Amino acid sequence: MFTTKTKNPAVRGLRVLAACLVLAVVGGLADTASAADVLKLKDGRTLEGEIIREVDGYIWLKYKLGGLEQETMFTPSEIVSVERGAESAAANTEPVQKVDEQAAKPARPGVPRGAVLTMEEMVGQYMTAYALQQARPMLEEELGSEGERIVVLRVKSGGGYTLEVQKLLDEIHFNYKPRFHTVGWIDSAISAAAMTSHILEEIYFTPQGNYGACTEFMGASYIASKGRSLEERLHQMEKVSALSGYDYRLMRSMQIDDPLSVTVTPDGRVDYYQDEESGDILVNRKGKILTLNAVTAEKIRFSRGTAATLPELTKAMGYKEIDWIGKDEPGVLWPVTKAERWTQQYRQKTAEDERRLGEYITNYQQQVAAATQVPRDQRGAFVNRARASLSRIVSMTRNNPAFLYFTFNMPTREDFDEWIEDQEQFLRDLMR
Amino acid sequence: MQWNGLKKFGRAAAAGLLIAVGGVGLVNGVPVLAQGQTQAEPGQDMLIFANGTVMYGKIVSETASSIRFKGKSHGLEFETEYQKANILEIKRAKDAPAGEAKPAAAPAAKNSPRTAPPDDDGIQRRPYYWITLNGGFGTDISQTPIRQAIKDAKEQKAEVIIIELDASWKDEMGEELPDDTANFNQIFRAEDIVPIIVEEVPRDWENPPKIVVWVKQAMGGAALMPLVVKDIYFSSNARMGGLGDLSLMFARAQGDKVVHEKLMSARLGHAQGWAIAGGHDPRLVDALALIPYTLSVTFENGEPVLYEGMPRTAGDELLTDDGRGENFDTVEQRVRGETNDVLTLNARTARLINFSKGTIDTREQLLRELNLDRVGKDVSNRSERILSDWSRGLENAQRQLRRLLEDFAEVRVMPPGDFSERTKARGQRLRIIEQMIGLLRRWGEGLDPYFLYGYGIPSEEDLNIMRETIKLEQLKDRK
Repeated sequence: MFTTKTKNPAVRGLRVLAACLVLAVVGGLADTASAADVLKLKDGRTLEGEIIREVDGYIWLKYKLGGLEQETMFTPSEIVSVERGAESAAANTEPVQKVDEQAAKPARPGVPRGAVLTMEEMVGQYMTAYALQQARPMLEEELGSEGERIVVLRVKSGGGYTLEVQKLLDEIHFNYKPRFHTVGWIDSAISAAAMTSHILEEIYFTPQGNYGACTEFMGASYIASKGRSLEERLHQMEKVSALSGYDYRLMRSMQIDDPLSVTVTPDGRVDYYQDEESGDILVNRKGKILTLNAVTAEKIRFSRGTAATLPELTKAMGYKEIDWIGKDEPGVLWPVTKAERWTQQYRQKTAEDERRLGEYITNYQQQVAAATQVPRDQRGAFVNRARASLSRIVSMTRNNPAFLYFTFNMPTREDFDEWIEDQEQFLRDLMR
Repeated sequence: MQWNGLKKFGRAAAAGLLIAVGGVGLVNGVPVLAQGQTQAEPGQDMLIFANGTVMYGKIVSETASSIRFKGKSHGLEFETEYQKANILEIKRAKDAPAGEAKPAAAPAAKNSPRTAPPDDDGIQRRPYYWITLNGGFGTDISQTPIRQAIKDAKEQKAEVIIIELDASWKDEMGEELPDDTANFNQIFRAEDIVPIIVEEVPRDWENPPKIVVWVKQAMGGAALMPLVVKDIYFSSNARMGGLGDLSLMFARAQGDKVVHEKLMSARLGHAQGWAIAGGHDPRLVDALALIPYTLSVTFENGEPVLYEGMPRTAGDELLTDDGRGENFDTVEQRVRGETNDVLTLNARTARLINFSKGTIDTREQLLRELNLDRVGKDVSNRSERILSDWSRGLENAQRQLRRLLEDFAEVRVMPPGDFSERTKARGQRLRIIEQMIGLLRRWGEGLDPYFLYGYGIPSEEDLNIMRETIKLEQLKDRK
């Protein structure tokens, strides 16, 4: 279920703009996309395309393979050399570097290596499967191939789009868990963030941690999912609970107003009851929606422990020591890996783009309008400014493809590219 | 599809109007009189009330619990009786020579020496750092100055940080608000601040200091600040609460009840979490926030034990009832600050349940209580400066923003109105826009949304659009 309405008036403006502007010949953006950056890889391949992002030697290349355009990230260890096309020089942020020394260091025998990766803000827009996918190869590189590799997903999110939840669940379950010992460290996992975290068998809370309130609803109307869509969501989380070993009734009380009580037997077994009386511990009253705090989560054995700091987490996980990789940075509670730095930058740019989207669009509109108001021979400066605004809009979708769907209501990259091509053509026509 | 940008929603809502719990907004039990006089005249007594009011005049008579007072306000003489419980300090004529008047917010702090005796007496001094937080919560009391003060405390090697918290709780007209007004959503503003104590101090300090909060007033979002520490003291007239609108927040909202319950649950989970981080019983948050929630206290071996429900024995005490039927707080109770549909902690109840370690009314008393009066060394020389610089800067930024907006509107193309003059006018406007952007970036966290909305201050994004419009006009213009 998906609504085509957007809460951002500026985006509505974009759609109006898209509808109003002259749509003509296809072409344009592909010229830019095919600018020749050449990547030589250790596996012998030579790829030609456009470098669209670089962080610490990691390169994201947009190129065509068998006529199909795709974006792939390459780690420094995969790259032999980079030849840059003249047009891509501006997009280049940092030179290709070797993996830092700490990541390259061999693991100490018997000491696991660990990394903290944050999953924050709105699910679907900031907390996305895409971000996890991009971070994964960096984590593999940094954690090395020897010994136990731990990834701690530190969650701090007030929820978001349930549409993203299955993608996140799949990425964690099928790609993270087989590669890493993946655990959750919950600072705040509300709604879609809790549903995502529920795929993790091993969960810890911060003292202030909270987890739950998973009732699905539609936007500002506060209308809860009902009927089939509700059953689908309940069933989805029953399957997730089964995969991760949690009693399905726990999540159910977070989704609908079912009561819940729990008994923890002396041998550590936890029995769940969908009523207020049968269990020793009343977890949720009838008519209420459950949000767990750290105390209750630990009491009912949902959380394996409560940890405020990384040393406390290490201890709660049952380790004497873990080599937490990454660099200490002021203002961050854990060493920052390249994967984490990329994730932070991804969120920062997403936040800035989300905040400034209206500005990008309004400026584009007024630049185009100004260009049409002056004689043809004076349009160059206006068209150039319009191109810069358009490139900002393109850039935001490259950093975060979630904008395509959730903001521009364009289901695929091709739809968006087509729209951009139309705009490019329109700008070219203005100059003729 | 589901959308729940909880934090963003909370921030937006926090900027909304305060909700009167139960729908009644009344004036506090303490009389608030208009003041004209700003300092004591010779022979005048001075009464300093906990709500900040200062009265000058003559004490006519006095009992153990009340004072009959004759004074003048804006030229009008009056004589009335005040309860001593509402008075923070009484300065009698002989104690209060002319010109000594001072604000009630921190009467002891101003007079007491800020520096401990020299260290040459052989006593090992324990450095402590005093942070006075007063003014508007989220504006004067904000993360940047608090972070700066804590950083300074670290540089001064403080072993104890004392936070004197007196957050104002007033309506838009500046009138003190009663206990039964609330703004739960302000906790999302507080979540920008409390991690400094909960996360940053343990992270940044090798030996984290003991943090003490002395509560004078902590209503709304400010209530989260005492909740995240263990060592709490209340002043005699302190109050902590203003979170009791959670049950009412969605009472008239559209949609399904189950969604309203979800949204309340998530909010409660946030606040409970911070209480747990501070080592407190999370049920305290339920009592502060939820009208139907009933909480009582019993005593086992002299220690208070909280339990849900009405009192079971005569020795137990009800903290908050379910607010239903005859339990619904009456107007009389509301006026007198005696409500219990939701909990508003005062010095007595906070002490009763061991939330507060003691009732303290002066700085000296607190230092004595903390064993810092003789062996403590005040290292908070810069603290007051940091906090006042922030407040002054904020006030100045607001003034400048208003002025710049007026200046922007007044920019005119001067005669003869040619290209040069048009260019000059656009240049002036662009400079004003740059200045406004600079102010918004520097002071944005503390700027009250009411102020921004009320004066029509554009956002940074709108200013960027205005800037581009001017640049396009300039490009289009021809000599």
